[in-house]
Amino acid sequence: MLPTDQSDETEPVVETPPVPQRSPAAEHGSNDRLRQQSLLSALGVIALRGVPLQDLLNEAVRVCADGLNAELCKVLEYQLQENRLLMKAGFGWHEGLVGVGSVGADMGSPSGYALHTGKPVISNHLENEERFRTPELLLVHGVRRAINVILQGDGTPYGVLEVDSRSPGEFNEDDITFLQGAANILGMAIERQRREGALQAALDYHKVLVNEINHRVKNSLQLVAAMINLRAGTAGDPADVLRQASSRIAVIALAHERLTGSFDVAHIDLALYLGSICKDVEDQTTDCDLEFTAPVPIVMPTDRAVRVALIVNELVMNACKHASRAEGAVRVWVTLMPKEPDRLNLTVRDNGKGLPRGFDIANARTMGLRVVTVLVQQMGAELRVERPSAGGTEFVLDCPLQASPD
Amino acid sequence: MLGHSNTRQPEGAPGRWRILIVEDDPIIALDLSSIVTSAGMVVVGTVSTTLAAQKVIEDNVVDAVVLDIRLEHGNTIEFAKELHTRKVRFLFQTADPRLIAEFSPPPIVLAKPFSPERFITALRELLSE
Repeated sequence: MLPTDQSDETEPVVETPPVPQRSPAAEHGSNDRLRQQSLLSALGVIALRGVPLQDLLNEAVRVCADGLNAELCKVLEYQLQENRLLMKAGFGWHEGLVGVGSVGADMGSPSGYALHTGKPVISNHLENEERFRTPELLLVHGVRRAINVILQGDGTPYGVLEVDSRSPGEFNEDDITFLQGAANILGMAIERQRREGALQAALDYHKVLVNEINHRVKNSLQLVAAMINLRAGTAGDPADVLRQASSRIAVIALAHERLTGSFDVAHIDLALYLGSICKDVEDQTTDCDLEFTAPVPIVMPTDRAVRVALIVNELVMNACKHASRAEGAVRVWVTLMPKEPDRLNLTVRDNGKGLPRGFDIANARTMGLRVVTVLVQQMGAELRVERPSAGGTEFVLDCPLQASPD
Repeated sequence: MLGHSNTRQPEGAPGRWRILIVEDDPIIALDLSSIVTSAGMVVVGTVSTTLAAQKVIEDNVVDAVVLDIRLEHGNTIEFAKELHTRKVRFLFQTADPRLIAEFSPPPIVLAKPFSPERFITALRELLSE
């Protein structure tokens, strides 16, 4: 239980506010400091509320001029290319200068000096200024004294906050404290806007990516359905048919696998992709010894890569099925090479008994080879059949990486 | 020649419907074409670009066009507008129906993936318009 007589220890002791003084000396005294503090805290509330940056800057220039009893104030944004400081918000300036008026950002201008050194700059007697030249913008507005502080978030400096006055008098250290306080509030708001911009860009990008992936998945499903439909119209051992269907689906699925975590789903490295397909085939078949070689990455549109992979899959399946049944495992070599300009050269060679005399892939009746023919044709590719002297069969695909324009 | 596509063909003679397929995936195109043929219609052409489609339409009688929206070279929206102007019937088949959200009048849209049955039903619906 708390004794009531101890309440005075937990309650804050609030000092009686000083009686407002009207004397000229007090104008620059504690009364002004209090007014500046309340202006800053009001500005801080607006900044925290997350109003659009331009609105905040507009409010800030009004508040800063008010706080320093000055007629003019501006926010200057650094323009790297031109090495100038552009007026982004202004109070008290001639009409039409915001977004247009600028001062040099070199070390010879007070604002430039504040920007590059991060040090506040006070010029109380511009007419006698020797350290800096007085920017034209100040001359035409009859400015006699100026105070500049840097505007900066966590990152690179944004620019400068400047208060100017036509009246005689002096800006002092306390004024710097006030103006730097306002600049720090703006700096945090600018930083937040930068981060929000980056987050928004990432979000927008991911929306596009999700749509792309969605499109790709639906298209792939249609492709799988089409291959099964086409096969349904032909005869064959159901177990074989299903195995073939499964390997074709795997080819398409592996493209998706390769695209996972990629930021560019429109392109794929065919070498890696074919590598994983060949590894799958190798793992799944006991009577086929498959060797895949691709010395360099070949990045190409995903749709076309899937078509090339389907061709390889059919040719490999065909080789494993027909090449040789008498002499144990069939060996199949798949080799992918780049071919200038913008083409690829792909060979599928086996050590089997060779194709029958007069074999022409264009007249092949199996669904797999019919599919190969339409794929080759659509891609503007060429497929040759060779009979190496060492025996077996070699298919040579010469294919453009990109679709040819209309 | 194009005027012909306006003339209604008698019901019960589907063998005479002439269909153009615009689809850049060769396997899907092959499948669509075999579905159309199985339904007793004629495939006038299977093309993967709007330019090739244009040519088929100029040289042949085409009763309906089956249009994929996203092709390797751009989309077929403009081409569809032209078909509409020329009064050639068409339907869209696409994995990305958002692309035709503002197409007017609302066309028949088949969202991929779709079954052969849905495809033929939509095609017949289009031809009976």
